[in-house]
Amino acid sequence: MAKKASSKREITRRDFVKMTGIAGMAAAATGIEGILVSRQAPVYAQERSLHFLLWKNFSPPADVEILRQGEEWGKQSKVKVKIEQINANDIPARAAAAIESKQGPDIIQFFHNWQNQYGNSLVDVTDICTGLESKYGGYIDYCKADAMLGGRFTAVPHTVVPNIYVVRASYMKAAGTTNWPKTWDELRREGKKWKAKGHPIGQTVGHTFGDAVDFTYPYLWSFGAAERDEKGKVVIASKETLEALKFFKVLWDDAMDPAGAGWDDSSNNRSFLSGAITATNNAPSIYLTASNQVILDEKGAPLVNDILHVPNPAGPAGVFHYHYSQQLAIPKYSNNVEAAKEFIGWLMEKDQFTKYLRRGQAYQAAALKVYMQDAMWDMFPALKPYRDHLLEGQHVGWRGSADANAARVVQNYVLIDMLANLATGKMTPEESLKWGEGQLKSIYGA
Amino acid sequence: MSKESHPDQLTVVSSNGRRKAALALLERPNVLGYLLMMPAAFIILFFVAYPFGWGVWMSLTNKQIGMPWSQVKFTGLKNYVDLVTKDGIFWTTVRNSFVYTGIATVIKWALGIWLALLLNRMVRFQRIVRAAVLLPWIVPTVLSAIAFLWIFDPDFSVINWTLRHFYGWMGWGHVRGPLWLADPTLALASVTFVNIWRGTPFYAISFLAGLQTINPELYEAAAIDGASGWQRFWHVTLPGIRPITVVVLVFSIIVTFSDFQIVYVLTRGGPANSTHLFATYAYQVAMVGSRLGLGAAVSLFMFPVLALVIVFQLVYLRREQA
Repeated sequence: MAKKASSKREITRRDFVKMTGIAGMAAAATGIEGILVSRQAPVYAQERSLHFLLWKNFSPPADVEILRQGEEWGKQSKVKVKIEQINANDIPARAAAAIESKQGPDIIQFFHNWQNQYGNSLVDVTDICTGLESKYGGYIDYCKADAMLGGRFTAVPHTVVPNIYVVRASYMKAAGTTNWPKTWDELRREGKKWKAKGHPIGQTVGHTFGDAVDFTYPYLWSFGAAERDEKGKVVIASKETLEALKFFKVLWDDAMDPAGAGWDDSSNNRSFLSGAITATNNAPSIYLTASNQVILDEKGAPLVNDILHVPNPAGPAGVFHYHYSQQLAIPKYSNNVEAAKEFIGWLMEKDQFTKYLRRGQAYQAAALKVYMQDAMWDMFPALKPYRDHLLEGQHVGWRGSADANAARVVQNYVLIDMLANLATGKMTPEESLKWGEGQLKSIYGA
Repeated sequence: MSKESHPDQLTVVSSNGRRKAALALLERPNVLGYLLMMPAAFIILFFVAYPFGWGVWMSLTNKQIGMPWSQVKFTGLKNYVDLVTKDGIFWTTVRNSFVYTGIATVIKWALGIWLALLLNRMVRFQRIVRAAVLLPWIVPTVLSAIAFLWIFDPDFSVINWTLRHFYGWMGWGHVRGPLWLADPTLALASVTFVNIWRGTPFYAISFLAGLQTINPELYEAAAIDGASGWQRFWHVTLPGIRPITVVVLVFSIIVTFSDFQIVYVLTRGGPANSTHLFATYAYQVAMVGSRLGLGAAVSLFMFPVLALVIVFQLVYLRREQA
């Protein structure tokens, strides 16, 4: 009897705790081998999730594609992918709150070099980037510079939003302008005629993330101005900058729409599409909207047929452009670093990335140079000028490095406000230069 | 039968004793008072005092977003000194905040009283009109600000559209209309207008409540004494609503001074920093520009002003009670 009872002994609560405890310790000690031996995936592997924060794209089909790709990869990898899209102007504050509270998205899309403000809180993704470089060739220089801090990648260079001038050919011709101006001075002279005809140049110098930076930085660079030199010294107080400011005041008053001082990134699109302005520095979104929505001009013809894409005019130091880079960063607080790396690596594979760019209708270019030869540009031939001037950009903070303080200068709109001070008549060029130098020295601690 | 108590009975007796003692303790006003006050004290301590103390501490450091606490250095008053001596935007922000709050408060007060007097006299559709008046106050600020973003658009503004058509109709030629958010003065005036539009209903309804507490006999007596309408307003109405005016004004000044949403949606502090208020500039410096210490210093600069306003209110209310 006793023997029988012993063999059929019921498992007591104490036994259960003991056994599961030992099993748990064994699993912890043996790690992946223990899981393989047990031939059962751990429960947490089925509960992996990934939260990806990015902007609401100016080319909506790109959003459709990224959502589809997230779903596809999620199914393949058994990861629940949550893709959250917000206004680009709100990303910095969202990221800041997440970084500081150490909770939030596992992947965050940053623009310019925003992420370098919190470089130490981001996962080093040099392994992914060098892997992609060796597989696909190099990155565009400024994309790489914007994504690096202290010799390591703080984010994976993803896309570039290129910016050149978008022009209404018929308005230009109606004012007697036969060719797009090659210099800023020519632009002022011709723009004065356009303004007289009721269609000025539209340009924001307001507090907004894209267009204001895209115009201000290359404009100042083209006069030989820079916020810092190669050694990091603040050198904004130069005769080149003063010259640029003085000329901007004349350019603004003669040829530009005064409403631009209060515009955000979408205002010039609306203004152009409604026939209020002749030219504006912008990404391909104006063309794509005109094309996709089949917007008609005053004569009832498709507006796209009247749109030209042309480079920035040259200043005394040459032609400069600023195309803002977009990169994907993984905060260190993430519990899903490996999944995030896998997902980014998968997104950057040629199959996915080509679809993303093409579905976006060439609104964004790729940070990897190889995609400049992609057939996408033949699919959207009107946008080829964006590709042709893609390599003429510089990184934020140029001639210095694209470090955290260079990002703060962008985020505090310092250079933009130096122009806005003139546009709004608040300051003279000399006063605005002095004001800007003070702001830069305050940020750079010089 | 033993006369010894059963153990259960002992428990009951001692339990009853503790209950009575506890009840007696609760009967003492100072004990009960503190107990009742504890939840509120807890909330104030953890949700007001703690963040405030944390903010003060942060403003005395070089803390940046993502900076490990091991690297955070105590910098004393450096952030405050830097703001005052090196930061041109800060002084623009100070000026804007006082102009914005001052103008908005005075106009909201005047419109609020005017509206309250009208509503107090209204007999028909009283409830519907009172509910309608409250609408701007009820609608989420961000939503109404987005509507105003369209209203103030230089090309698609309904105001400018009306002006254009009016000029055309009158044969006065083409006019574009004001650049509401592109001109520094107009931009500050525009955000102030939106604040007035949103805040006036709060004043009006509060003053209306105050008006209804004034004894009608006072007006009758004043009328019999030959007081004019203005004199009745000055000597009866205004003194009658003075207590509520002080409370409303103090509350409104604090809320207006720390306003954020209207400016953030309409201008983000632009053009050329012409509409930055303390809250929007602190947000730009700390949350967007990642300099938490400096941002905390910006937001704490308004504390002494608001503290003075609160002290004034407390002194006034105590005097009224006395």
